[in-house]
Amino acid sequence: DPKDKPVLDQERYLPIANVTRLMKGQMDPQAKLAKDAKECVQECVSEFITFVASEAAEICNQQKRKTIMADDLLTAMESLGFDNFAEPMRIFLQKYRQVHRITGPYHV
Amino acid sequence: KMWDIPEEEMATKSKNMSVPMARVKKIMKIDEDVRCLNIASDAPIFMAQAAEFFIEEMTAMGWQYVSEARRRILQKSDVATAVKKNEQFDFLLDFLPQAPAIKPLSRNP
Repeated sequence: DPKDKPVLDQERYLPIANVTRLMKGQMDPQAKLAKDAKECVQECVSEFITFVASEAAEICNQQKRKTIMADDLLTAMESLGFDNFAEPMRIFLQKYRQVHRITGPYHV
Repeated sequence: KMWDIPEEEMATKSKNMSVPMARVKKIMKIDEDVRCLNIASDAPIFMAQAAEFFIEEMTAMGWQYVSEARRRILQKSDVATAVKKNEQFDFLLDFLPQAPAIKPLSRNP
C-alpha cells in the first residue's frame, strides 16, 4: 500500500529555493540571508507541518474517522496554541471555500 | 495583512502555491499516524498556506533583531532568538540547539 511507504530523506523538507524566496520577501531587498538561517527555517517548517498533522491525525482517530481534512488541521492548530496562525488560516479556509463554491474544486 | 488574499488570487491559489503541495503532503506523512489515514484534497492546500505563513512569520521576527542591531545578514542565531522569545514556537525548543556548540540536526542520518 503506497500510503504506508516511509518518507525519503530528500522529501522531508520543502525545496530550499521556495523557502528562500518567502524569507527574502520579509527582509530588506539589500540584506543578505545566511545559508544556516535558510536551513534552520527549512527544518523548522517541516517540524511545524508534522506537529500539526500529527495532532490532526489524533483528532481523526479519536472521532474514528479515516480522512484528515483541512478542518482537522485548523482544530489542531487551535488546540496546539498557534494563535497567530489559526485565525488567519480560519479566514483563508472560509475564503477558499467561498471562491471554490463558484469556480469548482481543485484537486491535488 | 498577510492573509488578506484577493478573490481572484484565491480562485487559482491551489495552482500557485509558493511551496509545492505534493511535498507538503509527504512531510505530513513523516508522522506514522498520518500515514495510516487518508488525506483530503483540501488538507495539503491548507497546510501549504500555513507553511507559507509560518516561514514568513518566523523570518519577520528574526529580521527584527537584525534590523534593530543595524546588521545586514539574517543568521541562524536570529531565527533561534525569535523561537526563544515567542511562545508559539516553544515546540521547536527541543529541536533547535540551545547553545551554538551543539551540532545542528544532521540532514543525512
